[in-house]
Amino acid sequence: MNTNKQRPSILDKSLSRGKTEVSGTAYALLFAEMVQYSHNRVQSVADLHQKLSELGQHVGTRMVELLFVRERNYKRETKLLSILLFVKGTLWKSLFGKEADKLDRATDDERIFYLIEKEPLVNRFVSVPRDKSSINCAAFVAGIIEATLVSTGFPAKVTALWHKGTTFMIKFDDTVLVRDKQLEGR
Amino acid sequence: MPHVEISITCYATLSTCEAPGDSGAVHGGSVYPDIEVVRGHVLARNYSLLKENQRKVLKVWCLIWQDFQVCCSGMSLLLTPTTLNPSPQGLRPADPKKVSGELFTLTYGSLVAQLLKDYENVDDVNRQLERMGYNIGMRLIEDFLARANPGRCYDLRDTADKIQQAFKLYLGVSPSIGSWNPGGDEFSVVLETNPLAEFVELPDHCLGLRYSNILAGIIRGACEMVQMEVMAWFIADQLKGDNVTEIRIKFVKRLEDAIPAGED
Amino acid sequence: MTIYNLYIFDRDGQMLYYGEWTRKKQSGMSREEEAKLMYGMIFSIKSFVTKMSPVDLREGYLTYCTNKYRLHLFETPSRIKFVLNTDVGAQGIKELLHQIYTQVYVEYVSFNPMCPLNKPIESELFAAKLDEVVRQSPAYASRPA
Repeated sequence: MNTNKQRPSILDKSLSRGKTEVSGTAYALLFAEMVQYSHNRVQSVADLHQKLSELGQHVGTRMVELLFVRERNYKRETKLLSILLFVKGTLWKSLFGKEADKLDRATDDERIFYLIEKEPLVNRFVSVPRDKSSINCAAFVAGIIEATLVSTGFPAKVTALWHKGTTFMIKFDDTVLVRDKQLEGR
Repeated sequence: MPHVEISITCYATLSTCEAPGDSGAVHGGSVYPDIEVVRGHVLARNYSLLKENQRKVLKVWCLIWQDFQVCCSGMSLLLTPTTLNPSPQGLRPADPKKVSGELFTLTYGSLVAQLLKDYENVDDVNRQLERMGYNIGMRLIEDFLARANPGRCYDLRDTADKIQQAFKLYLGVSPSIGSWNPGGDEFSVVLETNPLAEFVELPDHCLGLRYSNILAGIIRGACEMVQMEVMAWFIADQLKGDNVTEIRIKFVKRLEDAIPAGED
Repeated sequence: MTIYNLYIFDRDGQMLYYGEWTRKKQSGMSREEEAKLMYGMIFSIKSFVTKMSPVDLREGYLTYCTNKYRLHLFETPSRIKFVLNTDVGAQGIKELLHQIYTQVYVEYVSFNPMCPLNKPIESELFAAKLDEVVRQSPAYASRPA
């Protein structure tokens, strides 16, 4: 390899405007291959979900940086509800071209929110055998959400469930709620 | 055109009784709900209305006219019901859903990062990326065949064109094809921009990494499914300071059909 | 008009899927054995026809008819073979097979990460869609003549 060549610095390039598109097919197949790869390296469904979530987190962390620089002019979110609306709106739109279908709050636990997406992009072509129906590839998307929340200062655990299509269960840390209450009090 | 007045009347009658009339469908929508058929007709109509196609269309009409002159003389007006056959169907529609390029790039990035974690050295990562590409290629080719209905390749130049077409269709980039070797069994696909590497800068300890090696695998896998064994490898990469990203493709051999068990 | 049954073979001659709609008589052998014979037969017919025919089998579609049934073979450029048996009068089968390939196989096998390419298809979604497409086709009549 020629080491004399000057490698271009990524900083010399201007930031992507987020207007490029690729075909859904190409994405579906890339994703499928990632699922297969992860599937071959784990023992249980829970491990698979964990693996997919980690892959999603990688995406989520970077998406947050990109979006806050590009769309939010570096302004961060401090309120619980506004960050959830950011996920449902801005994040979802730039990733999937639409807002998430619905946002709900659990009635019995104030730390828990549900983000509902009838047909997540990543599940469009997946038909899981019934006996393995607990596998939900949207765990990848759950990872994206989780990283988004964690890296904006709202530590939470996000899991993907089969319910009304796919439901992402978002469970915030107690600290988040305490802080949010304090903010409200002001 | 002669007889325009009569022909309009006649066409109106003909199309309502025989052809799945475009006009009916276009106006009402409910009468002939098969939008694909209508789209086909509209395309055919537009084709024949284009100036550069007029000559061809007139030629076809003249030929029909001559044929009829042979079998029945003394004819002054020929009515040709335009659209009695349904337009070609069964192709997959052009990709209905596009995906954000950023999601694609970052997802690929997360995969490469994961592989770098899972494997000790970059050569293994390169190999694994190629293998994953190969798997993708085997599936992608089915979509390409179903969607683009590309027909068969009669030589490697056909294949090169189709690879170019596929890059456009799936990644939204138009690579150039070139650098053919004298034997005509080896060529290059040259990318000015590489959508996989949008946000990427290779750290120094990863210089041996062929970041986009999945593309080489995809090409190999897709070609193999249509009976062509090829080799594909990167010879230039913008991530390594080259001006362009270049994939070299070499034809190895044609593959034959599987013979049923028990026959040789 | 009616549709009898369908075999799908991969490029190695392995049967990926079998489906039947109207079949009054079973062959009395195992499905695997039957599939082998079927593949052997279409393989032979195809290679014979390729040698005899003055024109290229460009569209990958081949059909023959006996006085009792008609066999339709559609082969994709990737050498996946769809074999559909119908009664002699069935129309539009070439289009139907093409539709099965593009709208069912590609959609629910090629794109299904849980569906390996070189193993028999087990996806229930695939089976359901296939059945739907076949039953909706003009060539399918629920009551066989």
